[in-house]
Amino acid sequence: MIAALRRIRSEVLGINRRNHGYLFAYNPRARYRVVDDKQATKVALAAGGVRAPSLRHVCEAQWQVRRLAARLAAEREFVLKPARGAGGAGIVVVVGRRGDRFVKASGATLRARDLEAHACDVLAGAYSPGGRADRMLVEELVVPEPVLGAFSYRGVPDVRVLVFRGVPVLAMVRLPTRRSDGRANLHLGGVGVGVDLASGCTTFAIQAGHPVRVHPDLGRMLTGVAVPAWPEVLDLAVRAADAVGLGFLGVDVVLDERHGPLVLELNARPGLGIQMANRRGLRPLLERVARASLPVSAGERVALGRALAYDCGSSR
Amino acid sequence: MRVMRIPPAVVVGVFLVTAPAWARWPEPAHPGDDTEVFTGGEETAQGSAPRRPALAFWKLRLTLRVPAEERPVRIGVLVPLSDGRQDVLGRRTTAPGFHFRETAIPPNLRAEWTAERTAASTATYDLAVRIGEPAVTPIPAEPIASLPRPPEGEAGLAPTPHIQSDAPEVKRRMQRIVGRATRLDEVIWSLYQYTAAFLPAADPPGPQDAVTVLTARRGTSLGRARTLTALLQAAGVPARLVGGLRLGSAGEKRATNSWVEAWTGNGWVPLDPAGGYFATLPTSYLALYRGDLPLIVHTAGLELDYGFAIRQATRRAVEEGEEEEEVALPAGRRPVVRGAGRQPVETHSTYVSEPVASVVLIVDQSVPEAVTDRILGEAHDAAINCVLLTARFESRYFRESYLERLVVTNLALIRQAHLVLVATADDAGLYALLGLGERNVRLDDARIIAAGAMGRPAALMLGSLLYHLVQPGEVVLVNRHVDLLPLWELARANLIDGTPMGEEAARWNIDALVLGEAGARLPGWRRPLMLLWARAVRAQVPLSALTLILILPIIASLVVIARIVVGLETFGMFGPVIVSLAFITTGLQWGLVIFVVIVGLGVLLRAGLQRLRLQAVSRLAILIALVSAVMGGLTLLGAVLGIGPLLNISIFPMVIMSNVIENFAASQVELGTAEALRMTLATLFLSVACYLVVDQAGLQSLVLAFPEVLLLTVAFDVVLGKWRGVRLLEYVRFFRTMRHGREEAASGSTAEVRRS
Repeated sequence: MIAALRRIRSEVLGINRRNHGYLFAYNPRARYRVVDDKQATKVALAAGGVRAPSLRHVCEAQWQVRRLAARLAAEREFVLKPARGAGGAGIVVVVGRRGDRFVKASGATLRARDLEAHACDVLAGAYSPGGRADRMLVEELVVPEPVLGAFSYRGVPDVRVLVFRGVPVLAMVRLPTRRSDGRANLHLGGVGVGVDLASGCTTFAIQAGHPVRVHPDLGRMLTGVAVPAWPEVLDLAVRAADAVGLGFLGVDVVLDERHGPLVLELNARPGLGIQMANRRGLRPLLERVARASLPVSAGERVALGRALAYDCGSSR
Repeated sequence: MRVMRIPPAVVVGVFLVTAPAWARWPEPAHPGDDTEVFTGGEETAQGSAPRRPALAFWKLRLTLRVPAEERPVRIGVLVPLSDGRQDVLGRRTTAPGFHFRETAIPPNLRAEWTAERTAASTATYDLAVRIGEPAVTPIPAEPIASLPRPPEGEAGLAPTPHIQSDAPEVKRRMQRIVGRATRLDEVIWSLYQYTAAFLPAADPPGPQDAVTVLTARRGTSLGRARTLTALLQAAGVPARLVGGLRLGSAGEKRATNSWVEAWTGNGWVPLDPAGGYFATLPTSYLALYRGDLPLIVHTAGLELDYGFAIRQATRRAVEEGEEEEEVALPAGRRPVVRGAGRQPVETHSTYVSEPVASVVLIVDQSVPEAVTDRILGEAHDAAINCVLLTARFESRYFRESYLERLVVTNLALIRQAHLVLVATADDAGLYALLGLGERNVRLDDARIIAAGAMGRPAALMLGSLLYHLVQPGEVVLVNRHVDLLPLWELARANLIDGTPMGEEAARWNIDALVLGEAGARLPGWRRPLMLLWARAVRAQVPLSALTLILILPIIASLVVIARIVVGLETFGMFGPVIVSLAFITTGLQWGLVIFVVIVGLGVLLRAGLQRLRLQAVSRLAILIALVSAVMGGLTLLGAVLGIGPLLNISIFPMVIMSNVIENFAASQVELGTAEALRMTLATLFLSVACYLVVDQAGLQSLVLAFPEVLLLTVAFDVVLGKWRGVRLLEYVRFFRTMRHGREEAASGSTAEVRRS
């Protein structure tokens, strides 16, 4: 037990150290704006040539809410997102229609009125930090590819890649569960599965801070699954980090059936649960990346990250 | 933050018919040969009494006009006491040339004026009373045989020459009236009805003993009351006579009135056959004494003239009249409960006619009766006027503010005192005394003794401040909690024998800090700071409120520790800080109750609001409306039930509470009820922790003595802000998974895939 605590103390990255050692040091204050606003993120990613789900509509003012239903009539499936929402709050996923009602990912139905009310909430800032006025984005719905899709209970699984100084250091697959209501966020009860950077295979899984071996709703073994298109996922994550100019961030990549890997969103204050899913503290990895002289090309940095992971993994 | 003062005691409309705890019934006072007796004239009832409000306030002045006498003179008057129906709110007397004394003759109180000889003079005795009209007391429908006996015992309920309850004609008449009824209510009602139907007395009235009145079927109120008493006693119902005044008519009056009280097993029920009141009395009836007694007893042959001047007063005039600048003489050796019935503020006092000194003792804990008696007794023997004021409260804030109120209310007493002794659990007493400085009161020669647990530097600072502001002869500080008795001995020895305080303190093993001409002093470099505080106090800045402000950074640092080192997740940073301040004013218990009630109701309402689909801002506004309504309701509840801490919640930071509710609801939607509850509990826990630290006595004074502590907290915040260690709760969080090594659990499949 003492050994485990020692290990936590020396290897695990806590919030204090994350804030001081990494956020303050590597993320310039001015760049936060880009990642905290999903619309701005999309613009920056597009400028850097990084692919992301396409933006269909933006609802900026209260008067536009009335026309929302009409504009959504053309869309069969879509995702409503507050531009500044954090932690998955305020996201509504519509997967189809039943009569004039919208069917949510959870199976519940919404009337046009409900959607409008939700839009009003979003615009009034119900989901943005500090209650500031917000915009609502209507995004294309991602259709998960079958390999990871088979592991998620409704909703879309994604891959969270932690990128430090342009080098991927840790990754995990986030799987929606019944408890998380179709969303992939760990703190909502989603399952996090660590991914070995070198091989692209899943290693350990956690839910709500406790180790699990099988998906709580689907009962499938979570470990030893090879994530499809793994090199492209890492490549996309690294290029997304370059595009927004942040030194320490979490990149959420989804695997779309039609378009392949897409960057869903970026997080400038990535959570630390990823260490639990990998059973590996971030500090040794981060310290080695901080010391290393970095190659310029994205491809070489991905290779460096995979080599580091292999090194640290085998040294233990 | 200037926190609201407690509003003036709120009138509580609840009257408890409490069985008086009189130990024994007195021997009937039979006037001796050398005394003459007034029993008062007879007032004829004038039609039906006008309807009066259910609560009335009166001021009475008894004036005794005494002619010049060359022999010892003694005058005794029975004066009213508080009971469940009436409350004596204040009494005072002027008696030039007389020794005055109040003696308890249970169940009555007698005021006595004595003098070796007198010039023609006038003595007065003033009373302020509040009389409530309780609802008609139901009389239990129980058989008389099963009636429990009154707590006072049976003595005094026996037949007397005027109340011949054993006379055969009384017994016979009783049996005829009662018939076969055995139930208490039936018996009392029929006997009351019978005597109520008697005619008023003929003019002039004959003898008014029970048998005569019963035979004539007419009598004065005294005679009819005696008859009813005799009949009730004959029927086995304990009953006694009450002498009182019917208040109301202007001018001076001498006439008294009599009625009956019957024992019904759980209380004494009033019956006034002459006035026509059954089981209730109007607010114009003031009971003066119990028993068949003369109102005034005095030396024989004295040409005494007396009269009651009565006027109805307003609540304000009566209840706040206590704060008039005249010297009030709280009477006797009994508690005078001030204000609305149940406040734990009490006054005991002893008053001698030619005092050599006067002492005011202020205590914030309940003093055992033995100690009170001993102190007052010793004071009396040493011819010291002594007033003991107590205020007991759980919350430090309340204690302090009530102590301060005690000081202010008794300003006149304190001004005249030779010695003011304040014994409190902590430094609250010293702060209360600083209220004197706020009012520019100088105690030129008086001494001040203040005891309470506090740091020596804080004691030195506060003591010097007090010395500087009030300029007493000496300030003696004992910076630990000491019992009242040794302190009293200290004071007494100093006043009587002139023993220096320091010397006497050493004898009692008390480490005292004496500030005075040649005593301990504040170090020179601290004086400017003390003068600065003195300035603030003179400018009416309440120092205790100032310390609350200065203490905020310390609470904030605590929150920083909880969040950075422990890793506690709370609703915002200000929440715990402000809620802990609110707890200081309400006390912990009630603070928690209020918090839980408000947040609980708020969350319920918030769930209801969810259906309405309102925008966040208007939802918050509705929550604020709810929170303020709940606070208003709780305040009223506090007023009705007499719960002091509830009266203070209007300053409970409602916006923060609304925010807690909104945060709770948001977290509940996003993270689930369990997580939301956990965060609420964390917020509450942190608030309580902050409260417990801040409520610690020493801290506030420490800030006053060493304001540079604030710089320290800033430095501390900087250090913590730079700290990169793993938070305590993170250890817990990571331990669950990290204790499994990578290899052990790295399922074979990973290795295989890697190899392939």
